[in-house]
Amino acid sequence: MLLRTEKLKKTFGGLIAVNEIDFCIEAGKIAAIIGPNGSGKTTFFNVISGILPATGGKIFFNDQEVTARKAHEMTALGMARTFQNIRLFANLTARDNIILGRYSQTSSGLLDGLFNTPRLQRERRESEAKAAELLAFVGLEKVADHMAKNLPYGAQRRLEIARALASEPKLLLLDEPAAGMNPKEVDALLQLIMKMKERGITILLIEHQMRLVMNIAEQVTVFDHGVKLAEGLPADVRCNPAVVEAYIGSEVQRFVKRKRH
Amino acid sequence: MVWRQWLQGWRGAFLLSAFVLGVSFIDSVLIRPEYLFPPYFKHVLLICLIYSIAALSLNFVSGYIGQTSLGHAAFFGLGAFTSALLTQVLHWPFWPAFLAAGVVSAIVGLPLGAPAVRVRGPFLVVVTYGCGEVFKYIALNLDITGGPAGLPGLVTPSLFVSFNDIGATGKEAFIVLALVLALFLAFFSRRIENSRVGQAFAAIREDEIAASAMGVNVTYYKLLAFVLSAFFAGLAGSLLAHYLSFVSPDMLSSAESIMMLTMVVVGGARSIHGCFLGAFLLTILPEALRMIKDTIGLPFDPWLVLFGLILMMMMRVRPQGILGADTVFRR
Amino acid sequence: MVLIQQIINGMALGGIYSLIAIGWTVVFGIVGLINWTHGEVFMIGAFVGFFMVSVFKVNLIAALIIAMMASGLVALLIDRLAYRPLRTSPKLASFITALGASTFLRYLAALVWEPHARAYPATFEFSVMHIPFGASTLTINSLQLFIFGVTLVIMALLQWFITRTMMGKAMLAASQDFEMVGLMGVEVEKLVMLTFGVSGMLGGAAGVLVGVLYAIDPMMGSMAGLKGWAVAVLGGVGSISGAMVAGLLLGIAENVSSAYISSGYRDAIAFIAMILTLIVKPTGLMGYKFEEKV
Repeated sequence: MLLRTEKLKKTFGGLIAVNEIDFCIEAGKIAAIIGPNGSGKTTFFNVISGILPATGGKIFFNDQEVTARKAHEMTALGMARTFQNIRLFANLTARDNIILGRYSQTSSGLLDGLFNTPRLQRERRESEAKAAELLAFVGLEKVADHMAKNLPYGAQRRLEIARALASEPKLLLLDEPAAGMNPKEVDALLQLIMKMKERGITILLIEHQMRLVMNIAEQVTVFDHGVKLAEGLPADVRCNPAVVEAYIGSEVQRFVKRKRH
Repeated sequence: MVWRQWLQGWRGAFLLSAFVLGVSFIDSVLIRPEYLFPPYFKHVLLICLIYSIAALSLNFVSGYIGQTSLGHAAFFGLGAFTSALLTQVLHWPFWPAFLAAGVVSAIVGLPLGAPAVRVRGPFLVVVTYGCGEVFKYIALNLDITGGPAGLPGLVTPSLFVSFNDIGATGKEAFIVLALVLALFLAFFSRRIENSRVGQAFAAIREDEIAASAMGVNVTYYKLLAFVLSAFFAGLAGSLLAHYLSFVSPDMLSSAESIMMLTMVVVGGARSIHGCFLGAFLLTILPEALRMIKDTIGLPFDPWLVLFGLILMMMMRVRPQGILGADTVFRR
Repeated sequence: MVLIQQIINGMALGGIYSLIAIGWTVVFGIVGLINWTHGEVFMIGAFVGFFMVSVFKVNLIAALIIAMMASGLVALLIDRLAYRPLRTSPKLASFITALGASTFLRYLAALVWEPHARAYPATFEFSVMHIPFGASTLTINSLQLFIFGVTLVIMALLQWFITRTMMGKAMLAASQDFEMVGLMGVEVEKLVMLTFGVSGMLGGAAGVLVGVLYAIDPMMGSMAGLKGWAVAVLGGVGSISGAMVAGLLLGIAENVSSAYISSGYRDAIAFIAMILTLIVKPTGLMGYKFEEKV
């Protein structure tokens, strides 16, 4: 098991966002978490990636307990992520964004900077080479020197993935990577995810676009109101009555709400 | 801007040194009855250099990690008081006291940087401001710091000979020391910009959460920026105190902090040239205005009113500062 | 005994701090800006009140109202001329502008009105009451009572305004969640103007009250203004009731500490309290959460 959570819990004041979730993902797999809005998916991501502290339960990564680790430590251990509302370094170029993604793979410090040591120079060369490779991998080599904030939306999503890849992760968390993409961009994303899998990266994604999930996920977990509703192969989950209830239920509610306004 | 490219690196440093050293020592070379550059001119030049150090040191916090600090004068004054007390009470020689001023400032900067880890944006502004004020009250109320009067009669530094005996006016050695320190700080800043530390600073400035997701230890780097900033500010404060041979709680005042922040902002945050430019401009302008005022016999000093207007205009026309640009961490 | 006396002495000053702090807090809550000029608005209010009483011989209450109007107008002008053009710029640009405007106004006032201190002329006699309390007596100055009373009236009016009127309710809602108000269709710029107006009026009132109690000079805004901000942070930024409570607490704490510790540190109390609050409980006594969404 690459990642395993045991009764993982996260509360905000009185609100239980993630309620005793047992979850695991095997190395090399592509897994998806789906669920209605507000079902705790992103909070689950934030807790396992160390951005928010867990309220209770345990997290194991590579058979090592990592419950209390901070985000930067998780990155060093080999977990990278993207964000639902893209968080690129807006005023840096695409290339520099990826070079920053390499941060956890480099180690020079203040004194290396002051004396411009061979180590710093070597790391800089390596990072530049890696950045060039990753830019090509996601098809952004032409805009390498554009500022991240000036890139089109789809390119920003891909750049964020490339930046996450730069840390050479074992596990990559993608938070709604296809949000706001047109069908053509979704296809490109699908291929990109398959290419990453070929590289041996385990992928866990949150996604609303069923087409994407059903096409690539080997394991689907359904969240609803912070609890795990169902888990299994995409085809099985799709037919699970509880899942249908949760989804249809929320759809009906949303429909009714819209009518009322 | 071609001239800016041209002034990068050693060329800019060389020109600044040539100018400063030329002004300082031409009177020692040309033995003439009257000064070519009067002592007052050299005094202003030295103050410019000391504030350049202060601005460059603030640039670590307000430029590189993008945290607005209104308490920088606290570190500056802390350095001044530290070396004043060490030399006066414990009779240390200047040099170790000078170094200790930086170290003590940096050590105190650590807990002061701690709020910056939890508090950000507008709240950090008031926390740093508040810290500065608290320091001022402590200096005003303790007996050992001389209360409101401060401590007069500090020792003059010496390097084999007393600084007072070097050059035509006795200010030259101070100017050289300030120049060396400012240039070293500029060099150090440039090297940091191009290093992995600079990358971490840039990441924190842009987006703290994304930075931590890249593996950047945000707490560590914020504290590092505060400590570096405090260390160099402490050195600058000590230098000013021993040059004036006097230290007072006014050095810790919020007006000083505001002036230092505006030097960085007006010159252009994250621009090393900008820090020099801001410090020189905001030191020379009030002096020049005072001269004009005396010549035309204006009944009041218009500087601070004008200063307010300049700030407002500046933010309207060029909010990134005169030399500020959306630079990245590499060349 | 001394303690109770100091608490009473601190109440009048505390009420004034509350007024200043509310002015800070509503502007920050709605525009997200540390309105550094608030201290200068307060100072201008104090001077307008002074000239009304001493030159035009108006009575104190009328002078207070005129000063409030003048300060409200000044605050509106500052917003219109300095802040509004920068509404979409980075926050640092607005903040530096605020610093600039504050310096400009302060030293302009020092040029026009000269930097020396002035005292309000004694318009009517204030008596001193001695109330037996246990073994000793408490001294209450009717001036303190007057100031505290005026503060209470102004706060009651404000409370009425934000809970009973449409615009006031919108203002309160906006100080808690600005984006939401935009969605609800309230004209945002109008609301911002209203906020600056109210903030300025409260600052002006505080200026006159401080003038009656102590003396006035063009530099008075710097310390009082910053203490107001400290109180706003203490109470929880964006929270009007928090600012009221924290103001009173600070006024009392200052008086008690100068009686028991040393009067030299009196002015530092506000900042120490503020720093500790921000480190321990960043939301203040009654603050709302300004948390970033991940």
